[in-house]
Amino acid sequence: MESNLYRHELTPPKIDEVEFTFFGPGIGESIVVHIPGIGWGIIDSCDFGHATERLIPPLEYLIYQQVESLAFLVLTHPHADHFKGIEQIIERYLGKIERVCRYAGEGLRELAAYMVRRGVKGSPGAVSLSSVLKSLKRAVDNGAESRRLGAMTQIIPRQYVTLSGRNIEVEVLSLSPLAEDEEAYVDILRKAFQDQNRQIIGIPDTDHNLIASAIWISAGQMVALLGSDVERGKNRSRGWRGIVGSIDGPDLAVKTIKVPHHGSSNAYYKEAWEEHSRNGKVTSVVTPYIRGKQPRPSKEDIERIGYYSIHVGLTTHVSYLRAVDVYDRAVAKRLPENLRVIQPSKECGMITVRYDLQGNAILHKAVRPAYWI
Amino acid sequence: MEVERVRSQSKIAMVNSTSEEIFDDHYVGLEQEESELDFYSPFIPSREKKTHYVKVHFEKVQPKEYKARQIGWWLGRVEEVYEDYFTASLEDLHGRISVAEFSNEEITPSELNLLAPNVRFSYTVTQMDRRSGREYVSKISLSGPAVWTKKDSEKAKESYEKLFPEELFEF
Repeated sequence: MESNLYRHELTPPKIDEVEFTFFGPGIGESIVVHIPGIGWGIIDSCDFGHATERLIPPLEYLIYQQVESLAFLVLTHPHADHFKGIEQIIERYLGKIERVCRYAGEGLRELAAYMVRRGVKGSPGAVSLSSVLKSLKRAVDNGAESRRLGAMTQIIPRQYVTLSGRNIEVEVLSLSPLAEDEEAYVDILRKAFQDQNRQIIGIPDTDHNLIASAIWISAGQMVALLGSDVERGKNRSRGWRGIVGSIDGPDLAVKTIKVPHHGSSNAYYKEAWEEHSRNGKVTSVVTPYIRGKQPRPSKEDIERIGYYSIHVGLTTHVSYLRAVDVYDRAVAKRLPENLRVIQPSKECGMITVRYDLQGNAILHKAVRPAYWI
Repeated sequence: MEVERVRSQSKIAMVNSTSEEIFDDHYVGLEQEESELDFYSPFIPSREKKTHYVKVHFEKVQPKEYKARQIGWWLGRVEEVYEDYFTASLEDLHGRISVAEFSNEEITPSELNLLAPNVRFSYTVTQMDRRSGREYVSKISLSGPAVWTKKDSEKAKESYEKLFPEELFEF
């Protein structure tokens, strides 16, 4: 399998340019970030391809841009669609990663125990979670600083960097998980194993989003918000409702946003979007998710996001086939009439946006199958 | 094949018989020398043309009335459950993912209580060739909640210690 990234020449950003490159091949997402005066960082990781041959697009991009070291590596939450390929990235940059940030609260132990129990009953996941944690530890053992993500964790502490004789303020924060979400997550995981009934109960994927970290990045006048899978929140102390309501939180008016949770309605909080677009419409990037009851984003999701956005970019294109187009006619006739086979793109695209330190957009580029709406 | 051979032999015996009621699949009429009668060689032609009826000890096997071949297989996950239908995502053996709505009528009544979001199931389409013709049968099998045993606890403890040593949470 060959990457299509090399076919679209993209010069490296200048030292005073902020760059975000978004990957989202349909399952999983990753964002490669360049921050002036700080260097390169990566938030989450994803892979792409078939079972026998898989590519790690963000790693390819880092190599393509001849990135020698990483200022930070962030895992917003320990779920497969955010950590596939992270071991290879760590291995490639071993000893050259300045800091590693991940969620490490009580929910992680409970998640590990839950995954192991599910593993005993044949569900996969525990081994890859273990492998990722071992890999992160390996990065720390090889010189990376370890940071635990939570509300208002400083990934890059506020600092001034001097560029061309000017002092620029730079800061990277995680805005979540909030304490109440974390408690709720631990509770859900503990209840998933009921010793009295001797049963393990499957928990919905959305519950795992309770420990996701939204990442806020500020460099000069450029502010971006990478929403991970943070959802709306069940009360004013949780999710986006809690983040927006926090008195300690930073200004949430941004230039660019990685739309949380693939643009789903679960992650939509009107007040948050009004905050984000307070200084003008934003550039929104959505990483589609092709599994689930309905692949995301839906038309309604895009319309909702579009209301606050000057551009909406999707990191991949998803089309659908009828059962009869894929399966033998005799089989297709026995399938539900409304069955749609998801046809993901055969290539992995990417979206790159660049800003100067005054917050002016310099570049908006989508490499197919990624596209702007 | 063996069953067919024995049955056809049985039919021949029935033609030669005088008391038909003793003949069924368990009895075979043989024409052979008495001294050579042997359960292990019951079909050796006899020169004396003397008929004996011996009970042959083989299991009564009903011939298969149909040939079944599974022609479609998916692993599904229930997404949302409504009053009379549910939505699900499906993955086939080639890794192709589909989304669909299923009527609750597709589920065996005894399994309806297992229908809940996130529950896994298998969905199969089987081709059945019967004497009466070809039929296709689709089937949903919901997996029940994983029941935990004492042995599972030991296994889980062992796996947890191996996969998640304390140091993975401490750095």
